[in-house]
Amino acid sequence: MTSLDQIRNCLEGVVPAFLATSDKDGMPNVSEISQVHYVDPSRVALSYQFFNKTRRNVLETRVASVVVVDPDTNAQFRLDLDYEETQTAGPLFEAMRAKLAGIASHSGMEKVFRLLGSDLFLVRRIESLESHRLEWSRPCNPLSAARRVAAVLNAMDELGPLLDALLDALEQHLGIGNSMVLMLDREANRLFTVASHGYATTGIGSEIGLGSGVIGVAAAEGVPIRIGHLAAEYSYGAAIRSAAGIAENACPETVITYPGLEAPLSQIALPLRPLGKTIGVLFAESLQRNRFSYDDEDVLQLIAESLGMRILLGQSDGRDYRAVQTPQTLDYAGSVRLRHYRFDDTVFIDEAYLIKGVAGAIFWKLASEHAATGRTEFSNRELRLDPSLRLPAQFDNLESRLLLLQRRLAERGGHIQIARSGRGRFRLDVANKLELELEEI
Amino acid sequence: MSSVVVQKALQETDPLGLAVAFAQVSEFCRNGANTIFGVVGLDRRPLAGIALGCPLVGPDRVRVLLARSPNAQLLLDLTREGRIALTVSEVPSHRSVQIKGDQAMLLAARPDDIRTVLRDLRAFRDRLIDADFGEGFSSSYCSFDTDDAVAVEFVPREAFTQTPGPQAGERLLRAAS
Repeated sequence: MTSLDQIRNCLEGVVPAFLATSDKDGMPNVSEISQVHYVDPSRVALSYQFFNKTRRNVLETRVASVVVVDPDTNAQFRLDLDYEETQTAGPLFEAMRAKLAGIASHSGMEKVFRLLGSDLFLVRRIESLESHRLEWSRPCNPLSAARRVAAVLNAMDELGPLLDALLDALEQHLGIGNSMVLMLDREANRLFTVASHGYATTGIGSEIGLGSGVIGVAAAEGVPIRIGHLAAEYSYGAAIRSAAGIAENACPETVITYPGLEAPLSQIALPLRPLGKTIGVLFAESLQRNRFSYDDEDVLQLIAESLGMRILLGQSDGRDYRAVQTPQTLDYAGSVRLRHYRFDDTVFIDEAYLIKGVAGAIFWKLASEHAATGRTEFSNRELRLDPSLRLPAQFDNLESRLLLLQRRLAERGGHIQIARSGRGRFRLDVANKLELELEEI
Repeated sequence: MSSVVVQKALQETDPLGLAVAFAQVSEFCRNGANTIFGVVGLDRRPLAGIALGCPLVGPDRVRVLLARSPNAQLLLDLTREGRIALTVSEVPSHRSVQIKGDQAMLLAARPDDIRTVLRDLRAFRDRLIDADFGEGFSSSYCSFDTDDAVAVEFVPREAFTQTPGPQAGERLLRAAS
């Protein structure tokens, strides 16, 4: 017997589905619909966009029939549906809204398609229909690939190299060439990039507003968001503008360029949610249309869940750092001038923007203490206890903020470096004298 | 003649919008269109199906060609109930028309039905390829076993615009005005 899980490829929205309803007098109605969304092994959701005859019939009789078509094989199935409820907000609604925007973009219907609700249906029966089917083979076994990628999480110690290795493994085992990890700064309602793979620039420190684009919506709703065609409302042009809007008082030179593809056709964002709390997003994109399927979403969500737990474990500092690597600071003849703006904790190194926000405040604290006392050893604990840093009590993402700082410093020439020096400890390595300037704006 | 006058004249001569629907369905099929239909079973549950095309549209009957094997239950329900909804959607414009009718009868497919539908399906396949559905999929979707083809004829009663949008489901003339 055919199960809904077996026919998810029919529900990608590539080929329209065909919906029949009837009114209470038994007169049928049939129309093309743009989206039949897989909810779980026994339910689908249809997009409710207009209050038309189809909608009236569904509410009146609470039954429907839909034919779906596999875009790869031309396999066709008829689903008997029982209407359950309509959702107008929340994770399911947002996932469908994003997907619908992609479908609308592909079919030139951007101005017509607008999701008003997600109509949830129980699938009573699936009938396989005779059709001329094409042979089609899957490019890789997703379960096996997931296992190999997830193995990376156990092989690495430090967060930075771990994220780099993970994104490498996505390319090696799943063929995903463009990806990044962003962490959530809940206080600022922004996500900042801590690792990227496959782009011309790393974009470390670049920001996306919570709720903006595929990444922002995935973080805001705590649900995977997947889009098969570039849609204007989810494009990063819009997302970046929105993110810039959040920090519109900031100087333009403090904006780090977002590294993403200029014209991606497929994007997927998976929330990192250890213990049900969103701390970041794993993101991938492609120039290929419909690159990410339901199976890819499952695979990447499994990896994202493991990564989320791994980051959470790292934050507890319960590990031994047996092999501590010492970064090489470059020799530097003169002094290094640091300027700090108290307003948003922006820090410049020799007129070049370095970092801002909580990571900026952390760096200024370390640099100030080093300049005053020559101190180089610091602990995570003292940062957590310092009220001036305003770290949240739980899920403070301190490791991610330190990673961001570490990577931004490395990108700024390596005259100042931070590195782990032991359990819950790290070291500030400075090549030469620091000159500190504090701006009170 | 102004469009208002034309609409008024149409409403008087074609109050159910059927003549407009027949013209549009014929045009869509020639250009390349998807044809779907719906029936209601004895248990009052609707059933959706994919048809092959419309070899005859109006004035008194509409003739639809479909494959018997994937639509066995629908054909059974159709011969019992007699009521049918047929929607034809032009690719890639999405312009769609729905014709509803009754007194549906199951008939043998005639050679000229097959010829007409093969011609229209070639146009449909080409539009699908143009729309990036791929040659393999487009050809498979538009192919059928001629021995499995059957015809259904019904008496058209009402016509509606089914083009996606807020007016989908409205009577054709009202939606067009």
